[in-house]
Amino acid sequence: MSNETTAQTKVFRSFEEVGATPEEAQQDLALWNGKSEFPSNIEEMIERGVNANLDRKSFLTFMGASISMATLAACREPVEKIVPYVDRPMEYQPGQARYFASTRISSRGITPILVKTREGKPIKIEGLADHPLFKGATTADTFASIWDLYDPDRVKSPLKKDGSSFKSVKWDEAIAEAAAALKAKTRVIASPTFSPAEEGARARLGAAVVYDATGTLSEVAAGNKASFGSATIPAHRFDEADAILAIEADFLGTWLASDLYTKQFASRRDPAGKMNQLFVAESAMSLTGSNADRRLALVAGTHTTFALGLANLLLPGSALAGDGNVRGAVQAFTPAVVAKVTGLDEKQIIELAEDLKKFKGKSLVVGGGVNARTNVAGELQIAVNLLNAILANEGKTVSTKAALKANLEISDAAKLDALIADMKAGKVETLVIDRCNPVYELPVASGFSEALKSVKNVIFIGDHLNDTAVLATQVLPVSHFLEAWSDASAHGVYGIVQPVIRPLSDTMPVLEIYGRLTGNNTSAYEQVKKSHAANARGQAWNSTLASGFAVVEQQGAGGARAFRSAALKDVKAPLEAQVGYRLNLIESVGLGDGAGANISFRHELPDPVTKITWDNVLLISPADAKTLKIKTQDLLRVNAGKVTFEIPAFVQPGMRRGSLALAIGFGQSHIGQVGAGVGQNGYALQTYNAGQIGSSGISITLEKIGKYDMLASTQRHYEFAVIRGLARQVDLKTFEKAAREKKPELLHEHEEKPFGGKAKGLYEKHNYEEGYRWNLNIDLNKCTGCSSCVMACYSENNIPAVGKSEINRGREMSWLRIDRYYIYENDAAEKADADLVNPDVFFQPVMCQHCENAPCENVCPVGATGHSSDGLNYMSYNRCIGTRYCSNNCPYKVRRYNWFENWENKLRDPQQYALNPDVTVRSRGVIEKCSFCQQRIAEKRQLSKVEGRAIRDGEIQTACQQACSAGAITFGNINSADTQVKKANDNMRTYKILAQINVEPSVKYMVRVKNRPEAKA
Amino acid sequence: MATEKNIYHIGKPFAAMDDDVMRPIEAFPTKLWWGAFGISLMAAVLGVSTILYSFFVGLGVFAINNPVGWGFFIVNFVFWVGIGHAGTLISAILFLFRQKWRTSINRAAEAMTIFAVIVAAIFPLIHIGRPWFVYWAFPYPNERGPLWANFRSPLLWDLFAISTYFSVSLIFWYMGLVPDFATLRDRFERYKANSKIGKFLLEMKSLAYKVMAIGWVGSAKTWHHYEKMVMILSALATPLVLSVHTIVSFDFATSVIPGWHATIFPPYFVAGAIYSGFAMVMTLMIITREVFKLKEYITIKHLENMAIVILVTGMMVSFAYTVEFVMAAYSASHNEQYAFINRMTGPFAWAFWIMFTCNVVSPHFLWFKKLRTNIKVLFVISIVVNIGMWFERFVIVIISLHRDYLPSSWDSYDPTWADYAVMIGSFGIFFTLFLMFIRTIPSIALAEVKADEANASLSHH
Repeated sequence: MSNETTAQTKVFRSFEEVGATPEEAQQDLALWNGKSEFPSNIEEMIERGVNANLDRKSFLTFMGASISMATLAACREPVEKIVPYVDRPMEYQPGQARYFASTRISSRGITPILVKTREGKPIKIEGLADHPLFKGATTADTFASIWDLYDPDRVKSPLKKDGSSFKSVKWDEAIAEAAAALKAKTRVIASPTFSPAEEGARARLGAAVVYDATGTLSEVAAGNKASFGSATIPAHRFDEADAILAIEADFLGTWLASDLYTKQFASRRDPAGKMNQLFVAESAMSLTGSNADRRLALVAGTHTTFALGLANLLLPGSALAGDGNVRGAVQAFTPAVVAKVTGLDEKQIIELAEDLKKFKGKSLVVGGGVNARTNVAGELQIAVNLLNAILANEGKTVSTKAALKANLEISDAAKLDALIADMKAGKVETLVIDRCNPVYELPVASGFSEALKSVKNVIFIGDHLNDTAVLATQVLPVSHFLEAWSDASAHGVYGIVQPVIRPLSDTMPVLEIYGRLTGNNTSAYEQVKKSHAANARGQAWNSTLASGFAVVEQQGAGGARAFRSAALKDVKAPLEAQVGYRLNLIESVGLGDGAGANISFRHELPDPVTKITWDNVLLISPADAKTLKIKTQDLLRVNAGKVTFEIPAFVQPGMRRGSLALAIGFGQSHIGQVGAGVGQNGYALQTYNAGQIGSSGISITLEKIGKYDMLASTQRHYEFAVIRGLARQVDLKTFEKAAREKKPELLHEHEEKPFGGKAKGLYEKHNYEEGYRWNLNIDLNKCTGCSSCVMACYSENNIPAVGKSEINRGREMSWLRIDRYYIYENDAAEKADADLVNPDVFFQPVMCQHCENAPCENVCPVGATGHSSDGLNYMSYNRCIGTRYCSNNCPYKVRRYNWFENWENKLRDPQQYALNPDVTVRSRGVIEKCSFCQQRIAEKRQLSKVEGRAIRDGEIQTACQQACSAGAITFGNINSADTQVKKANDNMRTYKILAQINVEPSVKYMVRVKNRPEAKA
Repeated sequence: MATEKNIYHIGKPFAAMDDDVMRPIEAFPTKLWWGAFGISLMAAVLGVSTILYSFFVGLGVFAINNPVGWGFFIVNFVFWVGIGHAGTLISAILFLFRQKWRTSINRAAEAMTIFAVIVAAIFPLIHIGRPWFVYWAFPYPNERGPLWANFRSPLLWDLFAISTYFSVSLIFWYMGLVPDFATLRDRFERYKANSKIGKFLLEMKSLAYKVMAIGWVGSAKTWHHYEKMVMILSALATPLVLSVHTIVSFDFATSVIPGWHATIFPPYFVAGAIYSGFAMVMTLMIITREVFKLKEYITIKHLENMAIVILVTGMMVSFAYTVEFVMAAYSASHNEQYAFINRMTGPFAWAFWIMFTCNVVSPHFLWFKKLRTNIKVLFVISIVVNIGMWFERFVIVIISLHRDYLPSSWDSYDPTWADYAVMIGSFGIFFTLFLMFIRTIPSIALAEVKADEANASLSHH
């Protein structure tokens, strides 16, 4: 305020004064002149107050108000400063995701990946869609590996044994000490690697004994070495095969590159195209067995007998018919003998041989994993190679061109045995254990952990304090593959493993550990660059880095190898029926070999077939369960050799009398807070025969101990009831007839139009005349049940893992579940199968169906769930008060409720970084559910608006769709004529589940078609 | 009618009747009362503390899960709302039908209604995940723009139905109490003059009754107005008796779940509510008349009349069960059919058969006059009926939910300690309130009894 204010200038303090009389205004103005706007002291205030006719009461009122407001001023929210990028990296936009192409190496091979980062933190791993071979194929395990990075139980700095515990040391000190120890008599034990750089660097430490835990790589490599001379794992062309026979090889779930194989296999599952045929011979019901067009249940451990029996029948007329070695090896395996040993009918074997004969050169036989590893190395693989040779598949569906791994560096049994013997004899002073867990993974019978006590220096290179690390004298922590440079070479493709974040703790890339231990200080980056120059066929570094890979060799026909029949001499398949119980160890989809067992999501992912979480169970046949009066959950005491433990039984259809199965990867005593002590260690039961580990057909004894253990299952066993109309499958003949005659009613009863299409809703229909209407279609013929989508959904949508006791209460949180049903075509089939119980297994992914007439929407008292203008059934978490009425009224039961607080104070640092910032976490007391990945829709909608265009078909991919290696899921707008999803919806096979209640789901399913072999008279 | 009048005729001077009925209020509580009160209060505290615990920890402490999103809470809610039916039925509908025998029991029945509705109202509140936001369910003007209560939701209708029913019942009850409060006021004035001990307490009590009597003078004009008002309130309350449980049944009937989705639900629920309400009144009346020596007021004839109501509504409930089964069988919907097969043979079949035995079989004993005039038999049957009605709600809520459409999501329901604690607590709260009621308010509507008595005398003597 200045003195220049004139009478003309109207100055007022409040709107009340504007309307005052001129005298009053004048008076006020006079008051203003020469004085500041606000009185500076109490006298002035009182004076002004008096002048402004402020009486005593009003004064006190104001004073009271002032005091209370003064205190209010003190109540402000604590200031949190957000520090912006002072020096923002180029192209970096806060709030926008950046993607980096990389490669993930697992114990089963490699997966090309795309890492999604936000604000410098990797938040999700996705398949690399641009990869020429994988085309984005991934497994559930790949998605889970993001949490490995943020696992709070990782070793955070080099450790040194100090009494009975470890103490943290500096890297320089650790390296110096380790390097000194390496000067003594040193041996190295390691697991196979797909990284040329690592292979080279590790070699400088000394010749390593390389073993693999599950035996898949070593068995296939050993078999190939015996049959063809080199330990090469060939390319298996599932996309080229018209008929596939998998013998104890779960290639859709856990066998080698199951992600790639799923993609290739599913590409041939269109019944309108040239559909393939899948035969599976196995003991325990695997994911692959669940997808079989015909599944033959073998007695555990008799797979080689079966394979040789088949070879015996196929041999006449084949190229190897004249080979005496072959004839000699197979002639004893007559159908009668095979039937006696494997438990099959003679007819089944003969029929299968007849069927396979039709597919010479167009079939593919695969075999061998942990569930097929016997006392003879590579036994089944030799028989499989023989079968492929007989069927003339070699060089066609089996090829060394772009082989999975040429010349795999893997040691034979004798080397492992010698190492253990040397350790026992005190001939080993220093043992380097490189990223493997032999104490846990080797059979108890091998005596490895005993022998380890005689070794003075045990240097463990790894990421967790697992069962082996706790016995080490020194632990050198390696960086996660998202933190370190490395490379990978497989499938004829060279890939780069590139870091997307600086190591979260004091860890080191394994390449640098190798280097520094051998006095080489080259950075991992330099080492990888060098390896790239040698392996990437001259592709420019930047180009490989940007795309993530360099194609070295294309897949294709050729590369046929000549089968060395002499290899068959070592094969010792049983010719007599076994007695007693035989156990096959199997790999679980969630946990695999067990290295990632400290991630709750791997445990939380229900096993695709048993639907059990957080446990491994002893799978037992229904026939044995009946004889022994065992029910699922009964505790059994298992005994093999010196190993005894108690484990809950699980009655699994599709298993033969006398056969048992148990998943490995569980039962680790040390790994971290999550994984330790979950389940029982199946590895311990393995047999050991001079270095050769046996994990199939293990002879064990069983004892019922009269107790039971609660199993946390997401889908309990019930009598077969009311599943009519949900799980729909027909055989190919029926489908072809329906297609020919244009009769969709042959595929599914026509319930699509309840009340003849005259059903009326209470409320007005939603209007989609303009804009989008999202729909999702799932081809059940392609879906293999691999559960990759479930894991991707967990990762994308910040879904919490809740643990065993909560799942036991029926409170799993997964937004997307895969329902598993068992199907018999008719009552007669069921009756005929009463003893074996070998029904079809049916998988059906179920997420929120985004119903048009959603029953959940009208029952919410606060309107927290509603319908969006683009056809989504949305959920406003903030509005939800948690009546759960919507969940009760959901016929698909896809809504999930937060029974407890799952996030606040529940995450251990640094787990919070794995959360997707685009998806809010849900507090206790609210409902959550599938949103059709609303955040992805929003992202693309925004982008399309900015670019002034409509959203393109296929531009939006839901997380589950993206994760589906089989390509079973289609998502898009049905308001446009020619979208993929619209075409899928119009397909004759498309049906809705629970169509009869007229909720009009936006998710549709396509009837599964079984390509059954023709029935013989 | 003459015989009826003879039966209900008490034949005592009004002052003696006052003494009889007011005795529990004016005397020092007996040990029996203290014992009962102590146990009830403890149960109530157990329930309330469990509820508070769940507020802090989350609803996970209860057994509810996916698919059984509603468990004991909603079972108890429907059960207590059902109990709360008899009071208004007795006071309003029986009043309109001029059923004289209602006068002895209507007071206690109405009190029971009020308390049962209070207890019932606790459950919807505590069963929601974020009870601190429960006010969002009310359609009040707010700053949230288009976010308002969803009028399509039966839960919202519930809210209106129950709050209306509660308000009207409360007013009705209080209005009926005014003449009796006046009697108490007058009696306490007298005591005050004579008493030497406990002066302060007596003062307070006296003052309270004075206030509650709102200046009742008992003139002919007052009585005239009073009776008109009772008539009007009865007429207003009558539809509410039917509406409350009708609307509670909508929670289920409007859903798509097999076993819930049925048009028979509204009349079936109302009949069931009256059935259980009368059984509860009977249980309480038998205890009251024994303990407070009110056999002259609540005669065996009263109880017999109630027994007949129980028999009739019991058969209505049985009929509804039958209709449900027939409809399911006839529906050609295999989900619906399975829901009912599962009720009878599934893992919770025991609950169904308890319900069946208690609700369908047990009332038929009341066909025999010998049995329905036997206090012990009536007492047992009244309790058995309420057990049966509790299980009816268990069957409807839990059995229907645990196996609905997709067998993949079927699960079980296994109540936890917390479920039982809250259930025990609900009985605790109810009985605490009821015991306080009989110590402070005349448990028999004296004024009405006297009026009937006077009428009877006029026409007889």
